[in-house]
Amino acid sequence: MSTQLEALDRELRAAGLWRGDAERGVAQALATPPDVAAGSRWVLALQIGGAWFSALFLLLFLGFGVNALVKTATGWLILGALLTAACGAVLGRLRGPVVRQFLLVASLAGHGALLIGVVDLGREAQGGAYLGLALYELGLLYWVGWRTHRLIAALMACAALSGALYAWHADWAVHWLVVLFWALAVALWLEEARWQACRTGGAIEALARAFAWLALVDAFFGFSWRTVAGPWALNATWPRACLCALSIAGMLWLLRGALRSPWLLAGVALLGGALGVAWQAPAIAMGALLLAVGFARGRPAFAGLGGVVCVLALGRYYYDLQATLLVKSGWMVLGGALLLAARALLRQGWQKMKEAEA
Amino acid sequence: MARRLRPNLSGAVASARGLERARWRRPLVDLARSGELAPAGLELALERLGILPDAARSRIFADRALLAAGTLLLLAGIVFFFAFNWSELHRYTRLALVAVPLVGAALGALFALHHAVRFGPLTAQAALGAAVVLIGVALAVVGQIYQTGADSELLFAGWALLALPWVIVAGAPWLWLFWLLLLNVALGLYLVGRADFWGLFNLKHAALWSPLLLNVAALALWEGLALLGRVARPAYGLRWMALFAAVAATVPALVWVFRAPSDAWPALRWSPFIYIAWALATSAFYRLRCRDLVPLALLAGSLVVVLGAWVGRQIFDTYRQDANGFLLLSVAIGGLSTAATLWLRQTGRAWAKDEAQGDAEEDA
Repeated sequence: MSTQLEALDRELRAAGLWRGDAERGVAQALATPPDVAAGSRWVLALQIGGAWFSALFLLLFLGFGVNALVKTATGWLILGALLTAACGAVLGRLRGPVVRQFLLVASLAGHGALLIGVVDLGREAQGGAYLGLALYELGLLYWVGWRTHRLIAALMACAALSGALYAWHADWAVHWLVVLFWALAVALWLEEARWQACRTGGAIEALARAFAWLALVDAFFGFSWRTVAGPWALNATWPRACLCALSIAGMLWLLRGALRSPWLLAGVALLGGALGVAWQAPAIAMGALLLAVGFARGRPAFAGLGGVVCVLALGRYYYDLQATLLVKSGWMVLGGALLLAARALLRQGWQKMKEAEA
Repeated sequence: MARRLRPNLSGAVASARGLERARWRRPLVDLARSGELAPAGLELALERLGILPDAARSRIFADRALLAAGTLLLLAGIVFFFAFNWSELHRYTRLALVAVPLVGAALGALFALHHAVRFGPLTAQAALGAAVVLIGVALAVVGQIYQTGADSELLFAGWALLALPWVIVAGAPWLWLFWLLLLNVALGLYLVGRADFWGLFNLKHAALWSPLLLNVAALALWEGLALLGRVARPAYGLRWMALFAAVAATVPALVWVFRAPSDAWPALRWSPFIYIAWALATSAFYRLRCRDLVPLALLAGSLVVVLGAWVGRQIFDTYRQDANGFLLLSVAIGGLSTAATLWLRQTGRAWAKDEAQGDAEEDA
């Protein structure tokens, strides 16, 4: 690895892309191996899972134990704001894993208290309160520079924005908010190279994750669509079609460099057709795009999530589609045949390219 | 057909290298965000270190993903076609309709195997995987026609038995995992379905521990063969097996934690010993013999769950705490998860230090 790093160092210097200490170089900057355990998703999952459960019990304690002191919605809002702000202030300064874990627990409980406060306000005042909460969370997102906390703040901000629209009875707008979230997520992940090196890249990354997760959750469970006219409401036809179209467009954008022969073009067209067939269940196309983007950007967790979403969404599509089992199985066979045909065409195209290069 | 497909060791090695490379992403991004590395330099570094895939890797990925998705969709279509209550057809027609794709999959595998250069080993493995799934469909159709109780453990056990030769021929880690899943489902259905009069005879000894024994034995066998270099060691396969084993160990341990005084199951008293033995064996093997952080993280997660449940029971059941108990439980779970994280971090750092020393010695 050290030889590879030294070669990279030389290439970066030659291209004038190394702006740091001239004597240090990228090979020396990366000489200390990164903390594998700290960066491991599994360890992070353990840490966050533990913090969630711990925060749940802390919230229960606050609910039962502080009930005598905090009785009004305003009380909960003040308690939540104090807890989150205090934790955010300390989290920005301290880096030890033990302190961070307990602060994360307290901060999560604070977020819970804020939510309880907003819900207790009653529907009339909820819209403005949710909007205020979204702005407050955006502030926390920018202010507290820890990845885990940023993700929580971004998720809270996006969810609070949806909550505000619900409270204002603008259910139709929630459908389009989900489309907007997905459009932003697709644009941000496809153009990751443009922002990941920025100073605010951490906050943008958290927002991109939150947009993608919330859009996927909504497309999968149909939260916003159910409120209009029951499961898989007809009113959501256009947002659903837009989500699918955005995903196919994202896929085409990702594959644009590969469309170098009629075989490859036909293969990609068939792939788009297979995804388009399932437009009523946009989570399938969304999962497929996430899988492709995750692979293209070297993010295996994203790719894995995309694969899981595809499988789960297919199951949901199967149950929710209003058709006989015969028709449903026919759609699946057609989709499978289209994908295998797309693979055959792509292989043919790659073979031809290889022959032409030889 | 008798020729067994060779394990794809290169895939496993590539996967391990990919994971090793991926850990440089965060430090590189930090360098770019601090301004030391230009944005274009970050992309270049990610490409050069292999974190971003090149054209060849992208083609392999697209090929595999389309093959897997297409095959799965075709199979799902066939499976759901038989879920459709197709009473108009004669039973022989229905049997023929499942037999034709099964024979087609077998012939497809044979064809792909003989033209391995053109199709690659994956096509044959996918066809064999399809045949394995179709065996289950055939058994379900037979059960549906002759009312043999198609959802019982016997279906899954029979499926696993009939699929075994195909799985051996395919030699694909993912197909072995699927086969192990079939065994687990058969065992689970047996345990749940036989919790009746016969359970008095079957469950009083170690039946509840049989899923753990099965998964640990499978994991040990795979790890043993991998150490001998006889099979591939893809990270995903062993991690899934470690997950199966962790779940199979945690559930009986939780049953022990929440046991009532009236529980008369004699084997229950052995639960802590078996759980501790599993924890020690997992910890020792994956820390000392075959370094892998994921099984250790699963072990740590299991310990947090079991110990957290035990503390919770002590707080609310033994010491009869009220709302204050939630605060104690919150602190306990926070403390346990922090301890687990610290342990994993310390282990990871020690490994990284050893690796760095090894690299330095190699360079010298």
